Amino acid sequence: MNRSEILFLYDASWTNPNGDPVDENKPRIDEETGRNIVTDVRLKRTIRDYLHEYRGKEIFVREISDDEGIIQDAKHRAEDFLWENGEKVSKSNLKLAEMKRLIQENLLRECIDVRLFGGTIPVEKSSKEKSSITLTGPVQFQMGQSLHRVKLEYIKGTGAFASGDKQTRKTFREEYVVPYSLIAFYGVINEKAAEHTHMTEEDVALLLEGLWNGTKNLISRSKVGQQPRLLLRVVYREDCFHIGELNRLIRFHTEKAEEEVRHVSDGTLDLSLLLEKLAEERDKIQEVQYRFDSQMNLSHNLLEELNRLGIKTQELIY
Amino acid sequence: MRTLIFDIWGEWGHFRKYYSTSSPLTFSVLPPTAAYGILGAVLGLSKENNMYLTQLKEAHTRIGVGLIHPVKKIMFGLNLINTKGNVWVPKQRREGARTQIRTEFLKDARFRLFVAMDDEALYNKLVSHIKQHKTYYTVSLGLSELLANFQFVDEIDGHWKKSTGEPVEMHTVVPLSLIRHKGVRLQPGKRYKKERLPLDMNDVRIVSAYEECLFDMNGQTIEADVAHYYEGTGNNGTIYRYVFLNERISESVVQQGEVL
Repeated sequence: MNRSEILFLYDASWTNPNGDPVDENKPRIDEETGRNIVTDVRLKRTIRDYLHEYRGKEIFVREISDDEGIIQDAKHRAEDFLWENGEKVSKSNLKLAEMKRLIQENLLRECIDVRLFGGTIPVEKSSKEKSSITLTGPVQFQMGQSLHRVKLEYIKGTGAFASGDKQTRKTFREEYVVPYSLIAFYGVINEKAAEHTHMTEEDVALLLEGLWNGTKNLISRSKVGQQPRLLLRVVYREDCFHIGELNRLIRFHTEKAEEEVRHVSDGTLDLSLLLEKLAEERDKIQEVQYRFDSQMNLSHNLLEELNRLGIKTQELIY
Repeated sequence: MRTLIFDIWGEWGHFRKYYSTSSPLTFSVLPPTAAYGILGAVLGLSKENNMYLTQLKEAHTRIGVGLIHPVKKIMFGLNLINTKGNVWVPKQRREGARTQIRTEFLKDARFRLFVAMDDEALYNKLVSHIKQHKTYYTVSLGLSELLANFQFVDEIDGHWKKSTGEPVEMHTVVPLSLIRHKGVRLQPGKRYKKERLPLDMNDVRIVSAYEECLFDMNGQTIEADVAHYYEGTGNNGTIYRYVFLNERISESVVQQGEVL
């Protein structure tokens, strides 16, 4: 496997891309720059949910509740993976180190999210003997940011139901949304860390599919209408090398005031810095995988430019 | 002594303060304890049993840290999932299976690292990696998802200097214990801050030294009368003066505490 970098752009209209739970669930905004922030955790949730619900893959970080709605804790979740040759093993027959080894082996075999993103998994034999499995994920996403200043809107409306018995009026609901936000995520896939989690090229293909289709398939009320707009994966042939900060090499230009952008076609994505850098490092690049949405205006014909540079390209088709 | 100078930066950083486990705060400066991990990642040293730390310490790795960008911090809530025990199970606690933690991050942080080692082979490998913009594992600022980028700045020959009794321009943060009595030349436009930083840790990652360090929150150099430091001239003629934060100083030179 080779080192690669990911640049992923998606947008959100009149929704809350990522609420801050301790700030009235408002969309996260950097007050200094006016840009919208989305945590890496939110993006990874999108990927995990897609892989689990649509592709039937086992993932470690999911909420499993019992009949009373009590959610399983991570320690017990880890023990779901305590088996050998298809048989459940009792932890009383194992040493702590063996327990760790078995759980780690099974986790890495079964759970695609651990292979991709790593994890810290508590393992407990008894209250006295405990430890944890720590795996650094080969895939790391930085927190995402919008490419422009966003506006925060406060929306009120009526709910369908009353708040309690014997009420004659319906409740009010209120929420914060952003009218529009074009969000860029940047990530690195490290082939050396991949050896520790046994991540394969097939896992990465599923990750990319999860980014694109998972974003499209978010159908909760606060996330509906999000659209993937651009996905680039730069794969390197040079050992240990990557360009870094691909998200800083793109700009969103618009003739409107940035807060007034309401659609991706209200502006143009300027790729000149990115293309410059790719040209500079072309000898180290094996190929560029791409997918973009037809509504997105690009400053350059990306394919033509890459071909001109002699960089191999491959379209990602889902 | 050959000293590698390189910059490391990122949109976000988080170097957790030791007394802030439930509402994590970050140090303003990348501490040497975090720099060990960064160097280990660049070189591809193993994390198994903290091997990277043992190797870097055996190589007698010395680290100085300077600020390049102003210190900016932002705080937002993270929605963390239950990880251990039954603490967050809804039956026993009302808070539910998730917990919301306000977390502080450094924003748009950029630091200049000064690194010297006694192990020539390891040092040369580090210089070659940094020069070619290569890193074995992905480097980050404190947490794995706070991705970092880096760039070679210079490689200089550093000479050990003793104070002449006059303040000099320092390119790294300076431990207060090294600053002589009334030794700081205060300059307008700077925001002086002292912060207690972890300077070193042992092979099992237990911090072995904390010290108050002085720096400018605006990310510029400070002028101070420093008991001893290193000095070297860069390729473009810049004179760099720096201290290694994790260097064990045998001779106790100055009185602690009083600075200004």
